[in-house]
Amino acid sequence: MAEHDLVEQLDQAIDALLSNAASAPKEPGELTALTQVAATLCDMPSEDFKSRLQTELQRRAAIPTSTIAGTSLRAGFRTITPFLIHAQAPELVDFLKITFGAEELKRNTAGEAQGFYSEVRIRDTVIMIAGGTAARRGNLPSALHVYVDDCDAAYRRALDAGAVTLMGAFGEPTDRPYGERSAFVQDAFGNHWYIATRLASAPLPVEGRGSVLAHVHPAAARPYIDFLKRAFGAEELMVMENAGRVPHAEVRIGDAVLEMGEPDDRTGIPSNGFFLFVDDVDAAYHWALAAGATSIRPPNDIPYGSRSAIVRDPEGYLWWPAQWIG
Amino acid sequence: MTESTDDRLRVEAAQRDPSRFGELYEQNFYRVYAYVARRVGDRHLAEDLTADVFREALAGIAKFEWRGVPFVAWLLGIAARTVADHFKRSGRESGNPSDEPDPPDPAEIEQHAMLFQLVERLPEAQFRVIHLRFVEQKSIREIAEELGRSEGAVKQLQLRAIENLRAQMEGAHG
Repeated sequence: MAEHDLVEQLDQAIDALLSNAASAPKEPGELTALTQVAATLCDMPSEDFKSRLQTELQRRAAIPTSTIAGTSLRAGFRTITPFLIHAQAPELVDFLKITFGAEELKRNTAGEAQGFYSEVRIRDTVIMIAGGTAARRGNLPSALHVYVDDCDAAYRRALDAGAVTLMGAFGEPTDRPYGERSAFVQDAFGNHWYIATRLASAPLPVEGRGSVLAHVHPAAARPYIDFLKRAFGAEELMVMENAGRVPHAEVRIGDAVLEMGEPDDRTGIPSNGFFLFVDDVDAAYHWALAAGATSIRPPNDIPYGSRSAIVRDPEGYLWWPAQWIG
Repeated sequence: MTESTDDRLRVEAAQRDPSRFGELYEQNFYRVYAYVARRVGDRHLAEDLTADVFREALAGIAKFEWRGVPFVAWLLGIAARTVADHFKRSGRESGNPSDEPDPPDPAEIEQHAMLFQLVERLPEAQFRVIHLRFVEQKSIREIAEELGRSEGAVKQLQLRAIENLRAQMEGAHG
């Protein structure tokens, strides 16, 4: 076939392909072979699609610390902000005011968290509390380590307000070898409070140790720390090991420290829920799942000004990766 | 190094450090896209679903377990499910379950993927003509105006490009 003819015939065949009028060429030959190539080209992706998707994936793959909120945190909120849910949330807020001198920054009794939502600050750290219909699926108590000026006085106030001492006499105010005087109580709402005052001998607190620290009790701390690293970009601060057990470990995520210790017995241990303030909820959610968390709810916009998702980590703790919007 | 060891090293690198996922993406992008495009036959939809496949793959890379099957088989498994979900969804929305086309022949997918990849390496003028013609679906006249060439020259470039691609495809298949 003369080249001029081939140029024209191929162009006509392409016109037909593009207008979906083509019938597959039958007879073998140069034109047929070229038309087959052209037919496949009709499915080609847009010029920049591959690079656009690559950019998006790179952003998602950026090490998860980049998802941790930088400047978008509200005052008093830490990257990890404890989130307590209880059907008697207003009474829980009262308990915190009485025992720890907590200041209630905000209370909404309608529209937010479907019923009751409160933000209280204990010294430099905010705790979020929800109740009402948010507690429909059950309460979500936490274990929290709280620093106060006078452990003994706070302990007595806690008992007066209905708390009970944990672990018998061991839970009463005592100077501990790790540089603090502390007492362990469970309030009437199922939360565990490790009430502490730093002893003069205590080392200076590391950055991120606010006045309230979440404390979890993983069955196996090492794998849990690995999970936290992969999911949330946690940084390992210390791991104490004793005869194959990890009684105490600390990691930092963003500007917060998370404490943990493998318990002898997990019975009665609070389930713990946390808000995790990030700059990109979708990325944080993806990373949590990639690291082995289970999705409870994919990211969506919540009427009270945040975007959040819910995941359950391999130890059963609940995380709300969240960002404020607007 | 064989392709499968290569593959394995890339997967392990991405599992340790997800920012290394880019290598797996580069290696497999056109295969996944070709598979999806062949199944759905619509460019925009194929792009949307391809993006979903890679997002899911990236999120799930840590859970990928090496069982000696090439990594691309895992990706195509995600792609098959993504396409099936799409057909289910669109069937439900229209109240009219659409017939899901039969899964394509893997050799055909491989060929399409290779062709799309070869387009990237065409000389610039040929590449431009192929894109304007097949993706933007412009007429020869429009392309000629846009590129400031004669219509005859554009048709020539179109033929050269396609001949070029065909020759390389044949070369690749020995």
